[in-house]
Amino acid sequence: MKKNDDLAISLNWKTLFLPLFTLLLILAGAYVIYELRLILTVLLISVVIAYLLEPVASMLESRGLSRGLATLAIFAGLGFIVLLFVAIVLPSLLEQIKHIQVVLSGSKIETLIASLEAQLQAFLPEDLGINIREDIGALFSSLSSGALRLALSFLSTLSFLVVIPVAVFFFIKDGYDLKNSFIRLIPNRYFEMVLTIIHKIDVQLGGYLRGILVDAGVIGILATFALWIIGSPYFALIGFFAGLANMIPYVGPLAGAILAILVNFFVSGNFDLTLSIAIAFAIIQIIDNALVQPYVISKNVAVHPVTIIFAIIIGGKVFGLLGMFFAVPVVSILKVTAFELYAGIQKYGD
Amino acid sequence: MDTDPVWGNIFKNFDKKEESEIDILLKIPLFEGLKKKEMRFILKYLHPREYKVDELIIEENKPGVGMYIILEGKVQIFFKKGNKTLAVLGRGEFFGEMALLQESPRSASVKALEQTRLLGLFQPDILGLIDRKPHLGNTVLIHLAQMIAERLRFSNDER
Repeated sequence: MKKNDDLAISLNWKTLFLPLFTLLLILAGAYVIYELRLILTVLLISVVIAYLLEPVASMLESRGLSRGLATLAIFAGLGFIVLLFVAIVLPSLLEQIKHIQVVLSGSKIETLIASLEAQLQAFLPEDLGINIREDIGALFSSLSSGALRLALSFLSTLSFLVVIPVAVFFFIKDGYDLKNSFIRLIPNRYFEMVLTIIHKIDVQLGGYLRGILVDAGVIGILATFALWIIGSPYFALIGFFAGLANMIPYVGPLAGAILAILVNFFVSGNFDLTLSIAIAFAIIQIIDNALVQPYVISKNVAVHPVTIIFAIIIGGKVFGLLGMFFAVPVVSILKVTAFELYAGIQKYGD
Repeated sequence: MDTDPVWGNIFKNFDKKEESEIDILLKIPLFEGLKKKEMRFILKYLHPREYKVDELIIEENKPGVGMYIILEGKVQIFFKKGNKTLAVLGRGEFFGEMALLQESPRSASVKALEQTRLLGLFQPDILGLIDRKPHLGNTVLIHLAQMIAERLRFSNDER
């Protein structure tokens, strides 16, 4: 009888203590992550950049270069691209951001929005309570000042400029050894499973992530070029936005065109360029779907439209404008990781 | 130039351990004929694992993606049903190589008979090797194909 009592006490102690201990551990982990969020963000960005560049290093290595030299060659190429960006694209981009802020805060914009509101109210019932002036004004000023603040904070933060390149260099050069060192820590029983899961996640995600980034770059360049030909103001800024927005399925491609049309309206006061912009973006979409995507995106991760909408809302709420752009890739990473983890545990587990 | 008495000795032992591992690996048909420099590169892809006495290394019917090379110790290959021993392997021998080509359920279980040190080589590592050093990766693949062809011929002859 006494033995049974002892058993009951030890079971209760275990059932009470274990969840409490797990909860405390989770809370402590969350606190540490919160406190170290800046370092973790820098680390995560470095890992992602190194991961995206890894195939380039392997390709150079397969041509006979050592890993160190291949990494140096990548950095030389990246340095050249960054230099070109800073010398040619960035000044006009910042200039356009500043200019658009001046335009948006000026009085001309007030009259233009008022005329747009009047035009829309003529078509729509009055009880809809349209107040575009306040809504759009608030949205655009917050967007443009937010974008400038973001760009400046990015440039002024020393950690981003110094730590990330150094970390990326070593992650590319020693990435394989680091991965194997991590796998070495996994207990014998699970290590083959972990190795397989990591490989499957890599195969699924690698092609997708590299693909959408290259696609965004191509679309950004095409949109900038098309808007420059049309004679649209702020062509570099809108092109940059269109490229980033292209990472969001369904609404992304449309967002670039709508922004271009709206900006043109606010600057010129008419919709003269609307048709040209719509045609240009339609052609870009055809080129993207027929020529770019089939070649650059080897794997596609299907994410439900409702998930996309919520991901964009949450991404925007937590991380702002950039959070909205990168919400879908992040959701895709989480989806593939969860799916492969589940499949791996099902397959290898008891 | 004199080497540092502390660091020099540490690295001497480290190199010795690596050299002895390379010597074992070069005797395996999979890596036969490779240069030491090439073997040193492949060594980065191998996963060192240590097993205690009676610890299960491979479990029958569980999926597998690679092979193991024995550096130290002894292992027993057996069927769970009836605990029938198929073979006992030692230093320089290997097992599980069929899974390198295709992720498939393991046909038998393997456990350590004594404290055992192994090197694991898996399908993702072979693919990585082909990406980074295609010539080296393909040489290993050809050796693997030859090993499997040899085994097929052997089992045909036995019938």
